[in-house]
Amino acid sequence: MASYAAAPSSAGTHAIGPRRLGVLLFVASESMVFLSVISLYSVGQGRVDHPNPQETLSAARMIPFSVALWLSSGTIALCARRLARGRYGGMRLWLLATVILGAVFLGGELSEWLELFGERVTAASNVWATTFFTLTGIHGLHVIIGLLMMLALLGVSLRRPLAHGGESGLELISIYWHFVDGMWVLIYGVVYFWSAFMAR
Amino acid sequence: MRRRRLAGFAAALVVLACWPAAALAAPFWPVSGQTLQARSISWLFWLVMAIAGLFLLVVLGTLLYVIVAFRGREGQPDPRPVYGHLRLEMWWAGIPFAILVAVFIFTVREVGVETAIAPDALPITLIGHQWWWEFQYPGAVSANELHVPVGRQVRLQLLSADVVHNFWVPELAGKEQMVPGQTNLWTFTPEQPGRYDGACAEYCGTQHGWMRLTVFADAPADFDRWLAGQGQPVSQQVLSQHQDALRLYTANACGACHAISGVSNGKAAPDLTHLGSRSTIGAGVLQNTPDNLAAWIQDAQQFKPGSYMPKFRLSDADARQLAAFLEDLR
Amino acid sequence: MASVARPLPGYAGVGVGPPGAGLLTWVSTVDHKRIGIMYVATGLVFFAVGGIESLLMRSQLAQPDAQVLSPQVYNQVFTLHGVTMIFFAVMPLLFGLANYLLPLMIGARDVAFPRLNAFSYWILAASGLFLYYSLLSGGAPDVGWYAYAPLTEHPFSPTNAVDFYALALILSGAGTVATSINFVVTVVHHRAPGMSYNRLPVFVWMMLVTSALSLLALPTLTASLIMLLVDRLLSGHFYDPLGGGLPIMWQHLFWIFGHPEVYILALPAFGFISEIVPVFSRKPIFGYSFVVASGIAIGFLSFGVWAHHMFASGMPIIADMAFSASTMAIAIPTGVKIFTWLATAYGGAIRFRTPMLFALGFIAMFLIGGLSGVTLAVVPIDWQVNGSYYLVAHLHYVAVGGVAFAIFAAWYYWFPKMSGRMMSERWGKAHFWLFLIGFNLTFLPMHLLGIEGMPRRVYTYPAFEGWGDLNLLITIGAFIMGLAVVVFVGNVLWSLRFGRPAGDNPWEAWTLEWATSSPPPSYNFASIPTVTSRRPLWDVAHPEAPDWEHEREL
Repeated sequence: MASYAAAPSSAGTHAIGPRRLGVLLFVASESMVFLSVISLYSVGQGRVDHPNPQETLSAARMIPFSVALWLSSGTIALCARRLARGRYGGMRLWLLATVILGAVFLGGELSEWLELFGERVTAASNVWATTFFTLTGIHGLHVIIGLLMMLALLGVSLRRPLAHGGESGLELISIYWHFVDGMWVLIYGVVYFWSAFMAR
Repeated sequence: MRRRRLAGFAAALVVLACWPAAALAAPFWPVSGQTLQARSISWLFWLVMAIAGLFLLVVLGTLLYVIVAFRGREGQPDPRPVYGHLRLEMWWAGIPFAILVAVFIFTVREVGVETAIAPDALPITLIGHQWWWEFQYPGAVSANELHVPVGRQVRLQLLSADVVHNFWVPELAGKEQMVPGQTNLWTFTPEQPGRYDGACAEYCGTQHGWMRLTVFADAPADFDRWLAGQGQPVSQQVLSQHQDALRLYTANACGACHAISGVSNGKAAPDLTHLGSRSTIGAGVLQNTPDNLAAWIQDAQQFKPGSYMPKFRLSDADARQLAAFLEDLR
Repeated sequence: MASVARPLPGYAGVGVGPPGAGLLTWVSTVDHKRIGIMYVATGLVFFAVGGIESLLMRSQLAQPDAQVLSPQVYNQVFTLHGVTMIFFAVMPLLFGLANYLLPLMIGARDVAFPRLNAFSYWILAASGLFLYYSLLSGGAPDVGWYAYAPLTEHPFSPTNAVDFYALALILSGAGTVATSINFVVTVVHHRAPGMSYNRLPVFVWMMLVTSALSLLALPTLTASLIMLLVDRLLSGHFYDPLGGGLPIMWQHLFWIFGHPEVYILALPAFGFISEIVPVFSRKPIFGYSFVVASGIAIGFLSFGVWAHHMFASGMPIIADMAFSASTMAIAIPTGVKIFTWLATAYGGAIRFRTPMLFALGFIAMFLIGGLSGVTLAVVPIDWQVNGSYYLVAHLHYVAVGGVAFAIFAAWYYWFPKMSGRMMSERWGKAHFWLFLIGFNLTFLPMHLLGIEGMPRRVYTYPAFEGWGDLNLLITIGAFIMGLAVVVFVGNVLWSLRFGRPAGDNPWEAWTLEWATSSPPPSYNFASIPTVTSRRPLWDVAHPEAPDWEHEREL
């Protein structure tokens, strides 16, 4: 049966198109997942002996990987700009750069996890470790999903020109990607910076 | 048509009659709080009920009036539209607001009354278990039956050994959760000697239904005597009288879960050192008689399915012997 | 001026009628009306299941020391009853009706993302089945619908039941979030020309607020369930005090979701009543702006009242007082709505058809539930009756006396639009009176039981407490309600085949869904209507006194 979605609406012109609005609402909703876990992380601060973030985490060690992730927000913006000008070669290059930067971040995250596992710190160790792995795990999952979407987009772009403009797939993915990066600012601040330097 | 309308009104009357009928059908607790704190709750309860009841009557009355007075006739044209009235809307938001401010002020005042703790309050530690209560007094331990002195404030420290429980004795005060990993405080000041029934008020697993307790408010002298008795270990005379039962107690590993001072010190189940002095067994599920106790020992699951007390393959004679011993622990 | 669409001749009934009614066309449909009907049908099935569960519980509780159900079974039944009714009966009924009505009411052809809409439905249906699949895998969850930790932790709930509970709610939450996104985008982007926010039907406004609440509240539940699963499956310690965790945080997180959830259920009900009372009183809603604004205020306040579920959990007194105040504050916009409906009916020419009976019943019953809610905001009273049958009474006066009455009102009101046939008035009235009497017999005495000290969620109670008589009365009431629902289902099945043809606008209502045929064609409107006021069809009928002349009068 045919659907009659997206009938023209004359209720006024909108700066935010329907798909864009949908993604914005989705990331607003997702942010509540992160805020819930972060709030538990904050409440649980200082309630554990070992392992604890002061001994276990290094705020400095994650800086290069975090910077890679934050830079990728810039590269995806450059990617969208190239697309808008119809320069597909540059667009693909910047998209690839975004994927690589995201992968670098994931690699850093993974190496930290493996290092912790080596020190016998796992989600089962204590409430701090449980929260740490859950929070970084949920975030990492979001990064992976973002990377998969970008790779798919890259694949599509090799076969046909991508749509551009506010409702294009690239724009929607970049909203999601900025959200994932923004959440990492919050997580880095709370998990690495605050607990490593401020608590106790 | 007319008859049907009458039937409708009759049905409405039946529904309205449910209210007072239900109210008269049962004795109504909040009239008779038995502690300072419960009286405070009771007073506030009736105040708020009166306000809410008045409000209910006015609004329901208006509704009934509207239903009767503005019944549409066949073929009646639509009445003149009215779209709103800002001042009226302000009034009907403002009046409830004023009422609620007053209620809130009374709330704050009564909460102050109910949570104030006197310096000489008697401290008792309550620990919730699946599905029984442990009471720790200075110098004594008991289970499922809480004794408190009349006229002295009691300060309860509420803990939990496993899941969330909730201590509630309706006639004495409100209730408070027992949350594992944190200590909650609760207080009441008994004013009348007597026996008060209570129960766990937070769902805590299979036998939440039979996690009941009894509070005995004793005259101060009786309470002191009771507490001194609970502090005593089991007398050698009782132990020597019940050598065979004691062997059964050991052979069946009762002491792995239960404590009897000087015999065993299991922590998972109620302390039995003074079991004979209690009026119920199984956190209220049975009267404490030798026959009931023997049956309980043989098959507690029959009375309290899902509890952690296993079945024991004891002969009737052995069970009675064990029960006789436990009943002598006074 | 108002050019309200009429369907093109010959096209009426293409949507939900017999042509193309094969099963496969239902499975593959992305038509919001068909999806709405599937939602509603699913909700009704789960409503029946949850109702049977409640009758099982009432059979066990009819007399003290009864042995109809074992405690293990009773605990599974009451948990399933709560989870089923909230997440798989009432939510699908509300969201299904909204799915059907919202695009029609704003003059749209469908929701913004029809395929996402189908996804929402199927994932919800799947999660409901998933919950019940636990029965085949060693037992249903037995932890209560709010599942306080650490009872849900592995040592105390070693079977997979709690995992089924958590996964089912995570899945259904994903469906609800997707639907909410769909609703918001549809309202923002697909309103008919002239349908400004100031002219949106009140129901659409309430669904906007509900969607916003769902978007922000459900992820909190999802997060707390993910953390529960981490605890259970990866030996985590979020809610485990031995590993440094805080069991109390489950209560906070759950109710940060749980209280907005109450309004996710209540606001659509307010929307239904705000549509039905004006039509059957033959007057416009009294104080449109006030009604909408109070709905928005409820939306904001609902995130600030969660801890009133936790007055007895050992919070600092100052927190108790703050949440007591915020809870009293949320009572005001709620009370305002009741006055509004009364003022709408006042001076009207009331037509006592079944939808209006349920709407009036809603006002009276919800009033009682709201007032008992205010008594629970008074901290010492909450200390006394929280966790008792008083609370069971209160929540059912809100959830059944409020929400279910509103759903029945909506059902009788929009059934003609959805099926093209009228429901039987005679059986509708029998349903109403049986339900009203059964409901009050069931839940009114529960207030008294709670005050006398009967805790909720007990599988039995001792005879010496003297609670047997009231409990018997309650059980009789519950079976009367069951009979009422049987009458209702019979009426639905009878009316689907033999009901009087409805015509486009049987109630002489004023909103856009009544401007098209019953049932509407799959494209809803042959030409998109242009809207000139809050009551477009009134303007058509009364060109001499159109509604838009009064839009500034609130």
